Amino acid sequence: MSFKPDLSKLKSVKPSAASRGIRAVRSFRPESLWVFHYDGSGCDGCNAEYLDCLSPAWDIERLAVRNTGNPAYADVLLVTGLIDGDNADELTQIYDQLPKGSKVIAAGACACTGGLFSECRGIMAGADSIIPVDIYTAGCAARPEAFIDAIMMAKEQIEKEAELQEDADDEE
Amino acid sequence: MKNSMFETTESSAVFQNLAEHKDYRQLVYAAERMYGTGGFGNSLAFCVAVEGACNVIVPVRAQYIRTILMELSMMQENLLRLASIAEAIGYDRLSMMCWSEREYVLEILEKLTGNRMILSMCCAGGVRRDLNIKEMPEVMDEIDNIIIKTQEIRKVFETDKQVISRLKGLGYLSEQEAGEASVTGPGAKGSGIADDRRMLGSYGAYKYLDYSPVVETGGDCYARCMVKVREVIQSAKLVRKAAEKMPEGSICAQMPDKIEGEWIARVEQADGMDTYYIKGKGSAFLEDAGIRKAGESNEKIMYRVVNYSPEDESLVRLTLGIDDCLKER
Amino acid sequence: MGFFKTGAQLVKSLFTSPVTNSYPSGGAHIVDGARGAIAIDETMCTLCGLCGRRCPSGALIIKRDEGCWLIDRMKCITCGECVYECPENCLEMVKEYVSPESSVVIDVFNAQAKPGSDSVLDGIESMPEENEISGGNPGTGLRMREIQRRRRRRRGKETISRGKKNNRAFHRNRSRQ
Repeated sequence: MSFKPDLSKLKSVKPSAASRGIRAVRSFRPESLWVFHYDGSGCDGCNAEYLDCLSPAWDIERLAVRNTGNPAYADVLLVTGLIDGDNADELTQIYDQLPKGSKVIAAGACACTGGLFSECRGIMAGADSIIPVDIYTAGCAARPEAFIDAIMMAKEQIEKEAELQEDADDEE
Repeated sequence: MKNSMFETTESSAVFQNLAEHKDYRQLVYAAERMYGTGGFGNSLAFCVAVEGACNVIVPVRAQYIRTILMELSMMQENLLRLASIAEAIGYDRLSMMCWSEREYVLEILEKLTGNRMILSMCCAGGVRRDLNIKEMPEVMDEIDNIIIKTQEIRKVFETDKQVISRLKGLGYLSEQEAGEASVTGPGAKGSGIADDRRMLGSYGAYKYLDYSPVVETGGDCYARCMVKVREVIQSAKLVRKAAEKMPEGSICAQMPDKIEGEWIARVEQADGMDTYYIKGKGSAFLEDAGIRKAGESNEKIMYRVVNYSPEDESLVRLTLGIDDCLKER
Repeated sequence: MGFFKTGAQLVKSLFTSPVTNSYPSGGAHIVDGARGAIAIDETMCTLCGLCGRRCPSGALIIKRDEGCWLIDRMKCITCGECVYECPENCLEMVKEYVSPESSVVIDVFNAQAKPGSDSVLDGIESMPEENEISGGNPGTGLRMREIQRRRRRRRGKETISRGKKNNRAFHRNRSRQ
């Protein structure tokens, strides 16, 4: 019923040498989490709640979480807003630049499943039509407490995977 | 939609698409989510348009409640824009002050309605829930505190040399140019035009509250910034006044099941005037609908004014001084 | 005119308590009446399907042949339309929000509006189905049931539901004086 663009034509970006080096350094055991926030064509409600997390009222920086502008340095990709045919290209490019072991969080009803706008033409039913999503957060707009829960969950998952990787390396 | 009168702009296209599948009672929720931080204003505009098409008169108590929620919603949006401007100047301390003030406003909204930004309180015919703010002393005290702290923020904007030197003289728009470009909101009020949709009295209880708009004559980014700060204080005082003057009565009027006729509603939001147009076809589904957001007319200032400041680094400050949404375009 | 006019505020803030909400260590303080999620009293649901038709986002699915009521938690926009529409007043908006999960959560509730059925025990028996649908981790569905059960024990049958008949003036074309 809804229009879906041709996904085989999406371009993907090769990482440069510098970002590959940075990835090697940051890919294992992050004590601090760097978050890259991507907003599709959303209503800005979940954006404003995420900016609230960075404000003095909720302050995720005291939990060792930092907002970054470069996906090559990020441990977590936070997607809010609607994903449509135009955004799908950008989102795939950003996902390709993420380091190995990064997690993807879809925050808000629109990013998880399309929400209220799931029946519209051109709107994908959630970010998981384009990229694999690890954590889903519900809400409209998603509360700052839910954002903090999701980021802490991502941190636990990354640390668990890093431990398993270390055990696997030790055995070798 | 077929044969729509509206050209497809971004916001119109999604709304029209949804209006094909959903009836007018469900479209209120879609209208709210057209713009998240200005959600109540959008749902209010849609409800005013539907009520106008059906010739329904909203009870006075509902008008007062709508006014209170609209002013609270505008306060939090203006504080967000001020925080963005302060961050663009490089004054992080001022930006954080604005963010923490905004949090108090959101807490008041959550106590009254259940959600922080997307309130879902407006329905065609009135409001959903009854509010009695006079009997909530903690809310009235909180509003007084917000007024005091925003006066301090206003003092910083007025007297700090860093703010003045970086915003004054930037993006000058004369009164005549603002009139020609039909700019609304802080763009017009910063250039000396006393133009505000709340003065018309077509929605809300503003005619009972002696409302008059805040006007500055500078015409530059600094003047538009001062308009926003003074509007926050004015909104808080309006909330207090409306809470005290609210009469008893019903909160919702009867609405027919079928909509016939067309109507245009114009509502004042923090960045200007939002226009909603609806046309009914004799059923609960709409034949045509369209939206024009204020940001689309504020873009015109950008095109006129960018010629005057050729330096690139002032472009960010200039853009935010006009409208917060433009930074995405 | 001068520099750094926020200096006085800065010094004052060294001696006052911080404005930051200490979450997650301090716990979430959510006000009563906040819109977090939808809860259902399945003893009263008759599977009429009105809530599913009125839901703007299509998050509610009612299956009459299987006798169950499903809600897609990640699609729900917490507007409260279903609570207002329900003719049996079995839906309620609770303040606890849906916590993040690793997969899209669809909660299943078996509607038992038959007299003489033991609703609480039936609810426990149907829980394994819920876990299968929500990806194997007893997440939101389990928590919602616990919250509902605690509330029912505390209050008996009296629910502070938004769907009280005298509040639904705007949908039933009756104005309230």
